[in-house]
Amino acid sequence: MAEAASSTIEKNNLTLKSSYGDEFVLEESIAIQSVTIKNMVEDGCSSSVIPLSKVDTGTLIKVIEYMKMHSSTSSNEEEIQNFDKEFVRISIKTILNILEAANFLDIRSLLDLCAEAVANRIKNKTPEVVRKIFNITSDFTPEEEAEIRNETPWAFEGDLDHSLD
Amino acid sequence: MSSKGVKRKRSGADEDIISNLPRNLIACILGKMPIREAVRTSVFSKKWRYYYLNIPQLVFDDQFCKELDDFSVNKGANIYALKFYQFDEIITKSLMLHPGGLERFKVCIPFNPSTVVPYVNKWILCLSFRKIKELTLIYKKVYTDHHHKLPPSFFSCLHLTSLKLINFVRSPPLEFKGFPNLRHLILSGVDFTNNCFESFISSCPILKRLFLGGCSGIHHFIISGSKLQRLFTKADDNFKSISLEKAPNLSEVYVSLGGVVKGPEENGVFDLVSFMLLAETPVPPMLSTSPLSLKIIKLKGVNFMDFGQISLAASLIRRATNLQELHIEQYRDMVFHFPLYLQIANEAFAASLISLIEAVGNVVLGSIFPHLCPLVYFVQVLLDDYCYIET
Repeated sequence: MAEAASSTIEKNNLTLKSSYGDEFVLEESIAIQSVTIKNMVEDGCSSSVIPLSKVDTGTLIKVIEYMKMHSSTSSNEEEIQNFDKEFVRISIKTILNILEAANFLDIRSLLDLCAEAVANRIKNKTPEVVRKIFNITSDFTPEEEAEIRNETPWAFEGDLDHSLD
Repeated sequence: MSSKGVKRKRSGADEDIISNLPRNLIACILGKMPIREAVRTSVFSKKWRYYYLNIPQLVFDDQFCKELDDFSVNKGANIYALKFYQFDEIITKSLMLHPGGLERFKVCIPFNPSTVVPYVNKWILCLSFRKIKELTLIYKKVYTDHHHKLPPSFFSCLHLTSLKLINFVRSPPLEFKGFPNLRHLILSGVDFTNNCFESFISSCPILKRLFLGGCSGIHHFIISGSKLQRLFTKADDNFKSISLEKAPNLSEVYVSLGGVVKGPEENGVFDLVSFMLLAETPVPPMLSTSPLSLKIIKLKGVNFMDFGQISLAASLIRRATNLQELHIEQYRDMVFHFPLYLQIANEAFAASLISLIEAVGNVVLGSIFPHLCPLVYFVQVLLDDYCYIET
């Protein structure tokens, strides 16, 4: 099946099915940016529908949008950069969903983009603010937390941002 | 998270949306931030207590040092004592606590003769056990010519794919067989004792990019490597000759002699000068006539009034039979020294240029147009060379 993947690449379409049961038809050449899908195609699973039980519809739409942009030959580097910038201007919850989908589908560049976007929401913020953003509940007593801070005081120096954005 | 199902809306509001991600994803996120930020996540909750230890890279760069410095100043502490104590300890601890293989380690060691040196060897020993892949060690030199001698454990970091060393002495043990996985190598201010340069380079079989800047202990640069594609060289006073015969797949060569000009990237855009400038020997092996596979040649800061330079540059270009791109810029201070020639020479220059293009093929002379009078002579010399070959 390896030769099928390369020789008839433009004509083959794949159907991806989200966890909600919605189906999306996508050119194989675009879909194989996902190493997971590429492996499925090479193993001969491409004729039927590919079920993505871990990816919900909203997330899959975003992933497909990303893959389409990144496989387009007409867009230049600057356009792609701008696209990426806009792409992650979404709720943190959605970014995390896409991050997990990118991990499952094995799309390295999308994984890096989302991980970076999440990192940017953590950077320069006080731990209290980050906890609020991600709904993390601290199970440390104030004494325990102080002790941990004391282990690496150099990491807690400096002015940190208290805002939620 | 997969169990959110029907009650999605209700639970979505107060559900922890990040702590239950797979560990590799958390490590990936933490790997995208400076180390101080990653360490701060340790107080989020008990789950997060040790997540940061798994980050794939440890980077202690100039920014990190500057921040430590600033905090010390703010506290009114004895800056140096506090900073260096912390610096050593922070890095040593981070390395010791790191549980697995490490992708990348970078440290810019501030200059301090009394405290830092022993720690470097300890770090390197640690790294050799951690299968380090990308290693950057920069020793800031301020007052002295001190170069730190690399310990034997350095030569057992055999998983290295990318290595950058600034201001170190390397003298490999006799049994050292090279770095089998090394692709990118940047050496600046590195002292090759016992003239071990050639054997070192040739013992890195898949080396693709090589940067050499201000390295001592090398007089004759014999560059070898069948996979080598890009070469950047900044030669110093000891530079005598360069030979590219043993690197048949070189496609880009940059050679410089002038002061380094810091570029936007760390790797630097360098003030490239023709490499023959300080060459003591009038006819280095460069002048041999065997063809080179070079596709791009960039010569910056060429002194077109120096006949030796011109003829050597011409020799290089002449031998590059596959040349596709040629960039030539003359030495900065020379630019406006000969305005008369500029005017007189224009017509002749245009004619010469056309001949040059015919002779060399599809030559891109992009960077030479702005200021170019003495270039005419250069072109002339080039053409003479061609004529010489053909007759």
